[in-house]
Parts: sequence; structure tokens; C-alpha cells
Amino acid sequence: MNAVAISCFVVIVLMSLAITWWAARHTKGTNDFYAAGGNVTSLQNGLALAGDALSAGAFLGLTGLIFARGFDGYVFAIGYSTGMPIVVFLLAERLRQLGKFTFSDVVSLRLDETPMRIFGAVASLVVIAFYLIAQLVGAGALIELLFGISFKLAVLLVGALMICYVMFGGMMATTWVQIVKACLMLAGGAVIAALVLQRFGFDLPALLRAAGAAHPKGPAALAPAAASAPFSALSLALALMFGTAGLPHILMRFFTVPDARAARNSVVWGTAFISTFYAATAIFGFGAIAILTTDASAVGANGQVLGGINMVAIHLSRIVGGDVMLGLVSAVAFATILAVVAGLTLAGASAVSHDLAARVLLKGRLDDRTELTISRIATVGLGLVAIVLGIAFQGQNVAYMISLAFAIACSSTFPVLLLSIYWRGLTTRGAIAGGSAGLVAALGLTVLGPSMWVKVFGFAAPVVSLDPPTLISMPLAFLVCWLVSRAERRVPARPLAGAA
Amino acid sequence: MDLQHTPREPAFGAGLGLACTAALAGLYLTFTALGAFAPHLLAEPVGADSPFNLAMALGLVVIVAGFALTALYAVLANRRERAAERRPATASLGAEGLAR
Repeated sequence: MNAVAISCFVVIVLMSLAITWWAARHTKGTNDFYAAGGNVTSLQNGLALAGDALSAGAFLGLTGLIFARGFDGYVFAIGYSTGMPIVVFLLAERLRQLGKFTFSDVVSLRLDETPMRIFGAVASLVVIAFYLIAQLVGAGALIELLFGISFKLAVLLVGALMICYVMFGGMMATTWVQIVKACLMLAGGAVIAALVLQRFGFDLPALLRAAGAAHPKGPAALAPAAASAPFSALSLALALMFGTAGLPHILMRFFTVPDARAARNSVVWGTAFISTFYAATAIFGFGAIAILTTDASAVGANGQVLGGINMVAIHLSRIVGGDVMLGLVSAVAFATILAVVAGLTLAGASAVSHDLAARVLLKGRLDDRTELTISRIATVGLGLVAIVLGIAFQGQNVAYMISLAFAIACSSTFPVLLLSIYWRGLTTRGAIAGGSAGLVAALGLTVLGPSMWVKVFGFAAPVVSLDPPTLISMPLAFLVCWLVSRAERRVPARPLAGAA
Repeated sequence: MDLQHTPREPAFGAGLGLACTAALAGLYLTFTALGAFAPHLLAEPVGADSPFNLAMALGLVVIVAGFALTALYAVLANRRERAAERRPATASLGAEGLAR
């Protein structure tokens, strides 16, 4: 499409691959592969946390959502910003004390190991699949727009690159890639925000007024839409707030620093970066409404954004910063996606090799080397599944799709993890029943909801309009965990438990 | 909420985390509920003729509160950990959890 953008792009991708290759030479055993050998400083880990949390959804998806929905899109950014603090308050400290870095390791401490590992691996894989699909859809649209190739081919290329990435580096690589990428993304975001504000004389109220004037909904776009589905809004809030805590690749991040104090300091850094970025999506999103709506190079005659809703941020960069900015932002967005999918794929591969194969199928008769091999095979398998599904979900908003992964995580792994840490009365049967009920309900209601029933399968109306299904599935998971555990124990564990 | 399941243990450090969770969840869910059930309240402008409305202002408050509570949590937990380390190891049953 244009030489400046493409050369910028290629340089960044090659740079990331070089880091991965360098890290691969330093990866010795499973501890290095999964948790970077526990050797990362607080600031570095904070940046890596920001890298994990600020996925392509943060930038491409949220800008697009705000562009389309106004304040109702910004609600997603506000919600995502609450996720990391909740992980810190409820889980990080306890997980470090227990010295365990995956969901299955933690819950296996008190509960029966084999069934918990099977449940943990299955739930993690479902969550990871949704998250991966979202990232691939974003990356596919980006490559499609930048190189002018078809969406299918673009997704295929991204998927292949992602598989190579994880195969050779492991977490050490993803930790370093996350750090580099987080720096690039924060810097790129700051430049775009400044360029957008400059257009309005650094006057935020003027920007908002212009956005209110340009949006089809008028100034009403700056406030929550009246009479939009109120229960879906609450459901979304629960998913965004508690979903992060159920994401498999975030938990691992607390074990890449040497001690608890470094872990705490790193989350302060991480949250500072993440919160600032989410707050700034207002400038990107509302700025895009004000600047893009009347620009024929970004919005076609039919009112649709060229390249799809996920490309609003890319058009915005080009209009305010020219070709150099277009190349830079595309590259950063792409590196972001690649790094996030690498972390996710790794978590998925570890669910298969570390939980299913090493402990369940082979009962521990598995050396480090074989485990790494299985992990690599799993990486390829997961990558292929994500490519096929990524093509099926073409055109859906990335930030919205990530909220579906969050909804499933906070209905399945999160309740079990939280109860196993804080409630002694939880039994293995209770955990399996509750976690499975939440997982099946969240997955089933999502399939019947607007995102899949209508947009993937093509039916006219969703069977279930609650979207996401968290408001039903998350309390259901807690309730079933509690009921089954109590029934198994016959007598109430203690008066406090009976009060709920 | 399900936090009512909260147990007697872990005794050390859990209260702080739960308090921070309750504060952030209370603030954020109140904001969401207002937006869902009384959107006209959030559409009120913050000042006369300002494009800033309550929705924007409260949204930013939620984002800032998330960071502020995280920083507060880290400072308090670090301070408590240092205090626990200064005590003789045998005498501090409660500190065992946090100091590892």
C-alpha cells in the first residue's frame, strides 16, 4: 500500500523476532520457559503486565467501539481498567504465598488433583480460544488494510508467525517482547493523543463538542444511551471487572519477579500504565468521531469505515500523523497482537503439556524435554484452531470479542480459584460442578447470543439477548460450587458460610 | 455478593485486599447501575455549558480509583511485611503468610 508504512512495519516485526531468537538461546528448562526464570525487575514486570493487559483490543477495538457507540464504547475502557486492581487485591498475594503460577497448580493444593487439572485445562483453553480469535481478527484486518491482501490470507500469515514466535522462545521471549511492545505502544499512544489534541488547540472540551456535533447520535453520544439493555450493561461490568482474574496468561506474570514486594511494586507500575492508557482511549475514540466522520479517505460513501470497525485507530493515525505515523502505529499494533497471542498460546500450550499430559495422562512420568515437545505440538494445534475461527469471526469488534473471553473466564476459572483460596468448605465435587456449570452456561448463552447466533451463524435474532451472559453464569457458578460442596459435607462448614 | 463466603483464614493480609475490592467494586457497579437504570442522571453536564457530563467525570473517577487503590494496597502491604520481618520469626505466627 505504501512504502514508508510497510518498511516501518517490517523493521518492528524483525526486531521482535530477533528478541525471541535471542531469548530462545537462553531458555534452559521449564522454569525459564514458563516464568522467565524469576529474574525480572519491578518496572520491567510492570511494563510486561501492561503489555499483557493492553492487547490489540485496547487500542484498535476500543477506539472503534467509541467511534461507533460514543460513551457506550468508553464504558468498555472503564471496565477493563478495573480488572488488574482486582487481580492484585484478591489473588496476586495469595498465589505468590502458595508459590504456584497456574490455575491448576493452585486449586490442586487442596482439591483432588486429576479432576481439577482436567477442568482447569479445558476452561483455560476455551477462554484462550476466544481471546486468541479476537486478536487474530484484529491482526487480520490490519494486514488486510496495510498490504491489500485478503482477510483469510492475512489471518493465515499472522497465525503462522504467532506459532513460530512461541515455539522458539517461551515466556522469556514473551516477557521481553511484552516490555518492548508496551514501551512502543505507550509512546505511540502518547504521540497520537498529542497530535489529536493539537487539532483542537489542546482543548479537551472543544474536542468533545466537536465529537458531539459529528456523531450521528449528536451530543447524546457523550452519555450512556437511554433505554439500552440495562441488565446487559451490569452483566458486562461484572465480566470486565472479574474476567481479568480468570485469564490464564495474567496469573503467570506474578512469578516472573523475585519476591512479593517486587510483585506488588510491579503491579503499581503496571496499573499506572494501564489506567493512563485506558483513560486516553477517550481522546482516541472521541477524537476519531470528530476527525474521521467527514473524511472520505476513512469512511466510505455508505458510512462504513474502510477496512472495518477495528481500523478506526489506524485511519486516525494516518490522518493526524501522515504515512510515518500510519506505519509506526500499524507496526506497534501488530507487535502488540503478536506478543499477546504469544502469551496466550503459551498459556494454552502449558495447559495441555503441564496439566493434561504431564500430570493426567502420564501421571508425572514425563521429563522436561518431553514436556517442552508436547507444549510445542500443542502450540501448533492451538494456532491452527485460532486461524480457522478467526476467519469465521471476521468483521466483529475486537474489544467486544475480548469481553466474551472475559465473561467465560469470570464464570468458570475465577469462581473456583477464588473459593479455593478463601473458602475452606469447597470440595472437589463442588468446584468441578460449579466451574463446569458456569463454563457451560457462559459458553452456551454466548453461542445463543448476538455475537455468535446472529453474527457468525447468520440467524435474524439472538435466542438470548443478555450479552454477555455473566449476570446469570457467574452467580450460577458460585451457587453450584457452594450447594454441591455443602451437600457433600452434609453439615454446614461453619456458620459464616451458612449466611450467604 | 459472594464475598460473603469470606472465611476466617487466610488471616493475614486478606482483609486489606477484600476491603480494596469492595471499594472498587462498589464504586464501579454504582456507576454502571446509574448508567443502566438512570442514564439521564449521568447525562447532566458538570458545569454550565460544559461538554463534560457526570458520566465522563465518574468514569474517570473509576479509572483513577483503580490505580489509587492499587498503590495504597502496595504501600500498606509492603509496610506490614517490613514490620513482620523486624519481629522475631518465632513470635510472629500471623506474619508467616505474608513474609513467606
